[in-house]
Amino acid sequence: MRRAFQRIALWLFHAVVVRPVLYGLIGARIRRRGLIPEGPCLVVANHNSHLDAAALMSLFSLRRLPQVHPVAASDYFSSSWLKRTMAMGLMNGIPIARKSGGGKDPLAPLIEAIGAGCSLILFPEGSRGEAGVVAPFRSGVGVIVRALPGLLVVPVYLSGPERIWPRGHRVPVPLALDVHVGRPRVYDASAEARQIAERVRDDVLALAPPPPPMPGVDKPLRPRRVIVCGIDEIARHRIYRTAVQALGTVGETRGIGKSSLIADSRGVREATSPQPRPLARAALALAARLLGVERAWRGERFLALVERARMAEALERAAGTRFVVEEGSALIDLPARAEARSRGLGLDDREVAQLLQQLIGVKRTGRGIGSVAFQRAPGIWLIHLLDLARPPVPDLLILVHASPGRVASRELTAGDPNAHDESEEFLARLAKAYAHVVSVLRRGRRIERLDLVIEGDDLRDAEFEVQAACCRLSESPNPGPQSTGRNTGLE
Amino acid sequence: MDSWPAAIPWIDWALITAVAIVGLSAMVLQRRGGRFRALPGWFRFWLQFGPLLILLSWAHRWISFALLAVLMLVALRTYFSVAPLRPRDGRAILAAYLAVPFALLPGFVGSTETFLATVPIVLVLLFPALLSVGRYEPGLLDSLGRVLLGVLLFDFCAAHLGLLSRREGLLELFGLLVLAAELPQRAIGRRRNDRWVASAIGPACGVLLATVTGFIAGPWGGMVEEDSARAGFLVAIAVTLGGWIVDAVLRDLGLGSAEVRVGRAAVLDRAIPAVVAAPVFFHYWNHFA
Repeated sequence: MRRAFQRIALWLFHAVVVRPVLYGLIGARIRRRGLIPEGPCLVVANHNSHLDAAALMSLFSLRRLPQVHPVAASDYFSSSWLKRTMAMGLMNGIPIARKSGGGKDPLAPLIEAIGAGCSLILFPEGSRGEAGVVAPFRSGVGVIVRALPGLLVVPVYLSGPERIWPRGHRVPVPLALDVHVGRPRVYDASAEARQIAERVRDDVLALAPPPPPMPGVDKPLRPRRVIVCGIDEIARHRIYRTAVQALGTVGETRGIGKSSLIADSRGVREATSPQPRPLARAALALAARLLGVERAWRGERFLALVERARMAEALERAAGTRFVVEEGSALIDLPARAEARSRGLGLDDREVAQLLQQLIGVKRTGRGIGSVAFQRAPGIWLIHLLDLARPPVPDLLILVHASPGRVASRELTAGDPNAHDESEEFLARLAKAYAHVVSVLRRGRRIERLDLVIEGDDLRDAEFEVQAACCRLSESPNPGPQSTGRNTGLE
Repeated sequence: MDSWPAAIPWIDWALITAVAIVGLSAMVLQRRGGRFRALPGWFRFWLQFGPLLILLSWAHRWISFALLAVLMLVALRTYFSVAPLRPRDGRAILAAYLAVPFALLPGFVGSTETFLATVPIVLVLLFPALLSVGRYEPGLLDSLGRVLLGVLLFDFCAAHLGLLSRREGLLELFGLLVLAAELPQRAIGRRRNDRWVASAIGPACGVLLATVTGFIAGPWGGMVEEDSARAGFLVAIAVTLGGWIVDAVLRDLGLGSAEVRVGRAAVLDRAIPAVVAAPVFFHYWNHFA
């Protein structure tokens, strides 16, 4: 009888109070609710507010509520009749002791509940922490996973409760609440409990959206960008390293090229590049092969260009990075190659401008440009169609001029297997195409241009000019705070 | 049953037709990409806001003002979620919510003078005071700006919709003029830095279309042609300024075009131009028409 009464009270409380308040007053939005499994699971989330348990219980249908138990700290929620009734009665909580004592395993009731087919809501931080900060997870979640191999753990990130009802505030303020549900995972039960807890925390944090800007806190500035491009690959690479080194002495600099670099006051060092997902990579490779753009130019793989563009885009929001230097860029390389390949039927200014706009993401399908992009620049068409990346516009563009004959003979002498279509004639067209694309890109934008003429193997003068240009760039005022959107460079 | 179309005023038909034209334009133009991708979202907003204006105009005051209060609360909540304040400014946010019924009350009882005399003074005094008391924390001026902008837009300006609802047909005419002013701006583009001539084309077309729309539709809303044409002109100017405010605010909050297309910032992008134009239209009608 008591059980039936409690069940009715639970349903009524959630149907009449909790959900109307959550959805009506607070305007809660749940992202990917469908990922919650039908069977027993362990929902793990960050904890900043008393609202958290209510928000997580709303992930489940009313029918399932009696089988869903938030885990409540017994020392806090048993301290008064009101708290006990709310937490254990109306919220269906299971009390646990936060500190083990008396020889009892405090997690035993939780393991029993999951074993009986119930789902649990657990806050492994142990307590409502500082607003907006996810404290280290306690190892209890790892102990439960180890005790129940194959248990589905659902990471969830709650964004908003820390502003609506933070610790120490008596009155909640209705503001937006977002519940980000992650994919359920089965963790390796043979790992240490501490390691499992750290992995779960990583999965919860991976769901976190970028925090909204708060008054009184300085907004981070977007990094300044440098692109080095040109037909002489060797000179280009040396100029790239010189630029990374020069800017690294001023602030943290990331280099994106054939070798990824990080430079700061401690010097220049190699960085590891993130590995893309193999399945997505294979699908993209197939699409690139079908379109005949698998190899962009001079042996540079199309996929590598796209991945570098993605990295460059991701660095828009990287905290601490002041400068980004790119050795070549999809933004310049792909249109230039498209123009050079068209063998005398070069793209006019309007077409180049529209291809650049497509790459940057300003225009999706301009009038008539869809067919132009598909026929003359299928790589750009593919990037745009699948929304693969948006290469950012640079602040400084270094164009390396070299003699096509010298570059071609060097490649042929070196026996480069990819040099078969890089004849002197093609390289000459490509050099002109670079200059054309760069001039179109600079129209209406504040992009400094540095032209370096390379005549021999001695690059000291060019490196000196690059260092001077980098110095000017570092001293020029920053254009402004970074945006969370894409850096289109266009208004 | 056959007499129901005749029972609906012309001005309502005009607004419904305008919303349908917006929907059609959105469907056609969205394929061009870029800023046109935001058009379907804007159409969906008007698909709700247009009927709401008709409902506010037709329904009993108790219903229309209650509905307006809910909408103002939702808009305020959205605004404060997108433009967060310091944690200690919670009381100012609560006060902004509580100010909604007080902002609507003079309109409800039909006392425009009371509204104009008390509401702005109270709002402008109350919120700086609420934010100023207590221990000092950095970011006071930033918080003050954010709170006052929200209160000004969604308490004070939006309350004018309540004042407009006291006369049948006015809200629909207002909605029609806002739509006419906004459509060219959304289609041609609102503002492009360093290209002032191009920037002026959208607003100029908006002003022209709103003026012509006002001249044609004014008598259906109970206004003389010349007056409603002038009202259309002023509304178009206000909508343009409102668009600039939205752009600047969203940029300052670090919200890009993707966030403006979907999500909470999108509500502000669509609602603010209409809300900003409401006082302009009301005061022109009240004092000059």
